[in-house]
Amino acid sequence: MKKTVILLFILFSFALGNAVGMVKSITGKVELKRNKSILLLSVGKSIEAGDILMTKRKSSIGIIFDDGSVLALGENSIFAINKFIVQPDKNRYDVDLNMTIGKASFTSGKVGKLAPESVKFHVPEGVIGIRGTKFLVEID
Amino acid sequence: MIIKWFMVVGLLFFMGCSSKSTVVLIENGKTQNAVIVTTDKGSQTLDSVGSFVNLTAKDRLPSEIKIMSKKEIAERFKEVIAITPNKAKSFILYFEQNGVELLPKSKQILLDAIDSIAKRTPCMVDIIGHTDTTGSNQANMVVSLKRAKYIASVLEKRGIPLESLLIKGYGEEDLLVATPDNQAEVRNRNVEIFVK
Repeated sequence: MKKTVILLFILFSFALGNAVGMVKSITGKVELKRNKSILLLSVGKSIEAGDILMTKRKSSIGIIFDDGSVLALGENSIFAINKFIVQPDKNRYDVDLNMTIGKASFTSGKVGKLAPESVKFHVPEGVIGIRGTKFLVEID
Repeated sequence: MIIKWFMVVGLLFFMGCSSKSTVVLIENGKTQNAVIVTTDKGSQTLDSVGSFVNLTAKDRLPSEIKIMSKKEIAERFKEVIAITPNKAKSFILYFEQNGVELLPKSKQILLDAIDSIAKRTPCMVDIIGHTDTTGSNQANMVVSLKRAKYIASVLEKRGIPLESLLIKGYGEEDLLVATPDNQAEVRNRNVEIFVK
């Protein structure tokens, strides 16, 4: 009985979702699809895993994530934040982003240093990943 | 681990109507990281500023790597660059042993952090406390959280509005400088103020 209760609670807290970032800058009209509703975004609004961002004509948006990663979208863009898990204390990392159309810039935050291989940025034809730090070797 | 810099990989994307993607590496900061662009047929690695590939379909290789001029980047991605928020900033404050007394130099850094937070609205802040490896793990968890809470109380007294404030203590679990157990190390007695 106890087990069931705990499991349900965990599932429930996952379903609730948590903020993974925040809107920092915006121009024009940017909408967000969360579950089945469409919300109009403004500066200071939080972004959650599962959200889909849609910028209209002559519109753009800048977002900062919990780990310091920065995303910007230009006009007529569609961008899904499937997962954004960066938890150094639990050693859990999973970032999954999906861009369907538009223009974007992305700069990785702490995740780029701590677990670059956990970042997947999908585009229609493939996926972009971050590779580990380069280093120099000298052999005498 | 505490990160002193955040700009690891900068990317720009462009997709036209025929669903063609362009990926440009625009900045790789101090760490010289790289991105790898993969389709079902294979990958290309971009590791220098301005290098780019085009993607035409899932079942085709990425194009050869070419270099995009600064001028072309600035023109094609003008609106995106204009709306890109400032990157996050990290401030590290160091402490005397066994308590919440800041080292003299760190008092100035705290003022710098407060200044930086005040200039960013809306702003999210994480305050993460750490200890060195002297003392027990449990005691260090307590001390690290105490340090973080102390710094948070200084911020709260200033009355700066924040969108979110996260206060955590990592004890000796996440050392800035790796040391053996029971070693005093000033660099590990710190609080990171992460300003977003």
